[in-house]
Parts: sequence; C-alpha cells; structure tokens
Amino acid sequence: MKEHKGIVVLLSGGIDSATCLAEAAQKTERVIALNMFYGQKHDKEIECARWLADYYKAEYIELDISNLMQYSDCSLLKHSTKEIEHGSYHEELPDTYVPFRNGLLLSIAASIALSKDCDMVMYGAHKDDAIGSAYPDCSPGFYRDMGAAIYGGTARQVQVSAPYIQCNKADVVKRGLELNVPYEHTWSCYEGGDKPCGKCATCIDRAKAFEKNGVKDPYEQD
Amino acid sequence: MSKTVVLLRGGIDSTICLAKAVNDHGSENVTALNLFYGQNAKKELGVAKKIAEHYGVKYIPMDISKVMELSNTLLLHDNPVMPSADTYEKETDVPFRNGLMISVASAVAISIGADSVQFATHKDESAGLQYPDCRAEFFRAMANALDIGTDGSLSLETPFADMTKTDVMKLGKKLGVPFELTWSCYVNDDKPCGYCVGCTGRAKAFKELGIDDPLLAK
Repeated sequence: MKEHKGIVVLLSGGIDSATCLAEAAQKTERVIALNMFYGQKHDKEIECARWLADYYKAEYIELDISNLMQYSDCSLLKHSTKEIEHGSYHEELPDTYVPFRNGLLLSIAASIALSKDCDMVMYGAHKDDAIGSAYPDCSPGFYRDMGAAIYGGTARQVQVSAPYIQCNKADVVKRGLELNVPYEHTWSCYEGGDKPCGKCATCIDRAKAFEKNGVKDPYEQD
Repeated sequence: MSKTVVLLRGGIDSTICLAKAVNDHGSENVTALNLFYGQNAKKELGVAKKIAEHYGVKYIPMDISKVMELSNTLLLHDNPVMPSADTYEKETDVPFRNGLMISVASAVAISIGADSVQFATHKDESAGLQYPDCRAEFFRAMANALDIGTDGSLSLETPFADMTKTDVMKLGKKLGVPFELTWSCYVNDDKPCGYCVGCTGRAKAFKELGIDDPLLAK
C-alpha cells in the first residue's frame, strides 16, 4: 500500500491541495508538504497549510519565492496595485494569472524531491482551472509535458502526479470527503480578510463544489 | 522585433548566446537574466553585469539560492573543499538546475512581455550522460511544457543545440564576443585557478579554436 519512497506535495492550504495531501498520505509514510509564498495577499492560506501539514504528520517546508515574481503585475500579488476582480474567471488569461506558476512550482518541487530522496511530486490541478485556457499551466497537456520534462530531467527519479487532472472541483471535494479531509482548516478566498468574502471566483467555486456534494462548507459552521 | 530573455551566467557559451540574441533581436529587445543559486563563484555576478553592460542590454540579477538551500552539493554554500576533476560531475549536480532556471526565466519573460527564452546548451554537453537536465530530450520536453503552459505565448530556444562547442566558439569569434570579459573558473578568486573543470574545459575550447585565451593574457 505504501508504494512510494516519499512524495512532495504542493500545499497552498486550499481545498484542492489539502485533498492532495490526504491522497499522498495514503500512498507513503514520508510526505513533504511544500508551501510556497510568492506574494499572495492572504496569510490565512499559509496558516491552513501549516495546520494541515501538522495534522497529516508531513514534513513542512515553507519557501518564500516572492523575489522571483517581482516583475509580475498579477493582481494576486501583494505589491500589485490592481484590485481583485469579483465574479467568475475570464475566458482568456485572467488577471489572477501568475506567470508560469505551476511550471515554476513543479520545478522547485522536483529539485527538492531529488534533494530529499522522494520519487514523486503531487499537485492538485483539476479540470475547472483549465476551462477556456483560464490557466494553461493547469491543463492536462501541460501536466503531461511538464511531467515528461521532470521525469527525463531527473533521470527518471521523480514522477509528477496530478490525481485530479480529469476531475472537476466537486469531484475533488467528493474524494476529500471520502478521505475525511478537515476542510474547516482550508482557505480559498483570494482576499486577505478574516472571513471569506463570498464574492471572489474561488469563494464562488468552493461554495458550488460543496453544494454539488450536498454538504455545507464546514468552514461556515465554525 | 520580438523581445527575448537570455540566461546569462557569464561563461563563454551564455555570452555567445547573448551576442547572437543581440545580433538577431537588437540590444533594446534583449534582457540578460543572471540567476545566483549559491554557487561559490560569486564572481559570476559581476562578470554577467559587465557583459550585459558591454552589449547595452537590460540586466536582471536574481537570487534563487533559497530554493537551493536543501541541496548539498560541493559547489554550493561557500564550501571550501573543491572537488577534483573525476568526482566533479556528480558533486556539482544541482538538482534539476536547468529545469528550475528555465522556469524562473519563463516567469520573468512573461512578466516583461518577452516571447522567448534563450538557453545556451550545445551538442557536446547533451551527449554526456551525467546530467539528465542537459540532454536534448529534456530541452524538447521543457519546450513543449512552456509552449502549452503559456498558451503558445512563450518559446524556449536553444540555438546551439545542434552545434559542437568548437562551432559555438567559432560563432562567438565571428560575432566579436569579448572573451576577456567571460569567466569559467569555479573558484572565487581574482585569477582563474587553471585546475577546475571550468578552467580545463575552457583551455581546451580555446586550443581547438586555435587562439589564446584573452583572459589569461590580461
């Protein structure tokens, strides 16, 4: 059952990555949860990531890579002067697009996986993020090609896994409910407030995902 | 004319790559990106800056050493022990270094509105089996990932992929590259040590080109 030497999981603290962490914990006893801070406006998400890593007894690594994003003007980043747009994602590259984010995060994770003798990198990309090329680096095609680059570029020592790449967000939550993921300790809102704004794209998507599973978002029940 | 980002380390190959980019795109459309990842040769930083100034291109130095802090290779963290030539290749292998550098360069390129990233790798390098992220297949896969991951707005270019080191040197000579500004030694000193793999590889390259290394004549 524990078929891997070790798995590095990209853990933001949202529901997708939390589910992914639970998934990895099923597959190995050595999970490394990697949280990367790249200038996001919300500290809540990081608190959740720390809590989740502790809960799943994963080694937790926090890495500040904001200096690598200093030239970006994406609205998710703290130094940006743009307001976060309310409503759903755009059809073309949205303002919340962090340049080549998943390429960068996966490359860093692969490097750390090699250093830490892990044989897999896992991340929670799913179908909804890739709709209308909103985030091209969340697409199945990108997963395939980046996976090939990392597998080859690490001399076949590190595989990339995106277990939800063919799922939508509701499917991810369904899987997470099976795995008893403590969703009350996840954070999705793009705004940095004390409570989720309920209006931004991820708040709306989160609400829909729980609704489709016929359950109330446990965060709301706090 | 399209904008491009060149990964500039300050060695011979990346400097020739910069020279070619300036030749093809014009200096106003070229950005030289130097990534510092904790290597001993801090000299590289100053070297890359001087080369960028020589070509009148925009210069961006970026520190990615934090990402590398988990790595334990001899080349990093001011480790005073220098590897000997035979153990060097293994020990200086920063994990997935080229993948990481290309990903960082891609993020920068998108941010500044460039549509390509240039990486200097040549046939002699990719033929070696020691570094998996120096092989031609790796660069092909990475190029595909960049293309699809940016919805076709960014491409990875490896202009020397099919050239030998000597061919690259010849091109550099033709383009009038200031070889005296480049630096290949891994020891952090005023003068090249002459013994490390960087130095011995460089000496061989100049010998095959049939000219004296202008850096040593200084």
